[in-house]
Amino acid sequence: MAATGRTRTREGYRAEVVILVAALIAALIGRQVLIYFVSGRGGFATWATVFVAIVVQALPFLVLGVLLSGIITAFVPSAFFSRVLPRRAAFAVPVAGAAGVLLPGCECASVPVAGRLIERGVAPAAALTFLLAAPAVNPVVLIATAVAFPGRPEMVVARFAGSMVTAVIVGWVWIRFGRTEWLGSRFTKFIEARAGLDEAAQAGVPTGRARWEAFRQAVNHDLFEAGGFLVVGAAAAATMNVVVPPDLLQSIAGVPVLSVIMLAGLAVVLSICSEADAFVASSFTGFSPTAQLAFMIVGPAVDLKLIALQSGTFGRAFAVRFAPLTFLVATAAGFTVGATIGVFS
Amino acid sequence: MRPEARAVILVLLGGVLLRLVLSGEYTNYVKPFLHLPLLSAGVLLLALGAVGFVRDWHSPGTMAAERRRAAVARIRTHGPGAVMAPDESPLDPSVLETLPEPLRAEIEPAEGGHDDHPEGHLVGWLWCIPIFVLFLVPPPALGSYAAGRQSALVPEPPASTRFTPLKGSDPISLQVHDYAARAAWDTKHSLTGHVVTITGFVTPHNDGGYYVTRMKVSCCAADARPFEVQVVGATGRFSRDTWVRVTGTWVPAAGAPTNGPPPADKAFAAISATSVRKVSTPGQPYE
Repeated sequence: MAATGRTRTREGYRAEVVILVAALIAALIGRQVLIYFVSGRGGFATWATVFVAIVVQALPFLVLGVLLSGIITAFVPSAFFSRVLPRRAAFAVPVAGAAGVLLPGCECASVPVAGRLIERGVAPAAALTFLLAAPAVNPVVLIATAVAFPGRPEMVVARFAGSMVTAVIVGWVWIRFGRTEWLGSRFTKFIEARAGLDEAAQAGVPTGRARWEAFRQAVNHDLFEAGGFLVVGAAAAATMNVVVPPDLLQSIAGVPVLSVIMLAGLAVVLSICSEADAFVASSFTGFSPTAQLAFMIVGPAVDLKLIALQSGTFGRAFAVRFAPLTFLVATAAGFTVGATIGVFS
Repeated sequence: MRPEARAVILVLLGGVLLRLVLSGEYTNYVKPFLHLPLLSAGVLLLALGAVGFVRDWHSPGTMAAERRRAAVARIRTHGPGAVMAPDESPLDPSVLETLPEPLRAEIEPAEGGHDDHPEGHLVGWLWCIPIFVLFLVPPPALGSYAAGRQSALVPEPPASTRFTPLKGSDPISLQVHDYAARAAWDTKHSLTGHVVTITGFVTPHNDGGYYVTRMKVSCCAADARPFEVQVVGATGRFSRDTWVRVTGTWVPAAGAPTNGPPPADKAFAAISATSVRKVSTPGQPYE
């Protein structure tokens, strides 16, 4: 056992050194090719700019998120969450949604945090509600929305309500239909292990130097697991940004139901940060408020970058179920709040 | 991924981020308000990488000891089942011997479990792509290609927008989006009677003329929208993406109604240029 383990370690080490050297050589050769394309300032340069922009813009928020998830892992005992959250998952879900107001980040920050919350014994449904609510209802996003829609406070209220309703409904749906094994082995192991332990055993946090080491390990792990998928999501979103013809949209702006679904779908492919999407939504002039709201409610809940991050943290089996569910609920919420403010104004 | 490789990537990522911020190049991708968050993220990533070097770049013996410490920390934190991070090499049996008996019993069956998601090991390498792109060929700010994909129509400003009278003496310097909105939508013609200057890059259009263009960005380049002003009566020819300063006066765009707001599909902006001068690329390419 010891011998095979050590051999494997050494082989893995050599493989990674080879990869690093190969990457360096490829980069030096590829540089000339890249310069040719990028300096042309054509489609490829535009793609590269948008790709880099999404990564750079997401990095501070991702770092904030992984720091927070490290803190949850190393410094907050599970007892804290079992104390502040109602014991019944059905009640914990709305509380988790309201807690989303506290995390002033965009969607990249909330995915690793939600993962660590599940590890700390928070019911998966509540953690997922937090995941959906945090990027959409925090003060920064609401202020941005108010600035983007001056003189129309009903848009801010409707956005808040729509996103909160989406997050809570998805949480409840998860309680009723969700299965632990969809979350991937990393979490099922924790959840099963926890089920067999008593309260005292759950409470522990490491102490002294081990605490900082656990913090560093958690930050490192989440940064690379979630971050790698962020790169995938940014590449996909940049491709869509360059490929989707923007003027196609204007032609369907007036069509009642189709325009709402189109903007909801566009929110998924463009993957704009939740702090900026209100400005983009308000630039879709000619579209109904319902369509603009659908864009703002769907965007923070499900987009290409987010799907990639989620499959990185929770696994593919989770993402293929969670993304369509969230999209349906969020779009329906967009229709509902849109119709509601239509009645009142 | 091995901890050493992670440390290398963290240092590179932090370094490239700091370089972007300190050189000011970051404004090609995001708005200036992200200056401080990006700076802190860069410093944190560098620090994390540096600590990684110190703690993980060891001889195998020290590494085993380190692993043992980390494994114990994880077990204390997460309970049994968390013997190792999914991407770590198997624990040395000597580690198990140092653990208290009840923990050891819990660990043994879980030991094979770390190979469930081998792809999880590799995905972190994808960080290399943005690092290499940024180190080797940082892509330029969005230019005429991105602008040309969208129409030159000026979107209708929000109903509450008030176009305040222009202040200062002529020529008055205006942002391109401000000029475009006033030119296309201001029914009170606040531009009339003023000489203004606008600065942007050249975007050629199908009809042979060219537009002075500036991208408006809310957060990052992914949400950029172009504002384009047709240059009428221009002297000189400029190739695409050249930055120019246009001095001139407002003229209604071709086909615009003489009074009242234009229909949304006719809301173009134009400027009658008295001079068009080439300028260097501004520090902040977006508005």
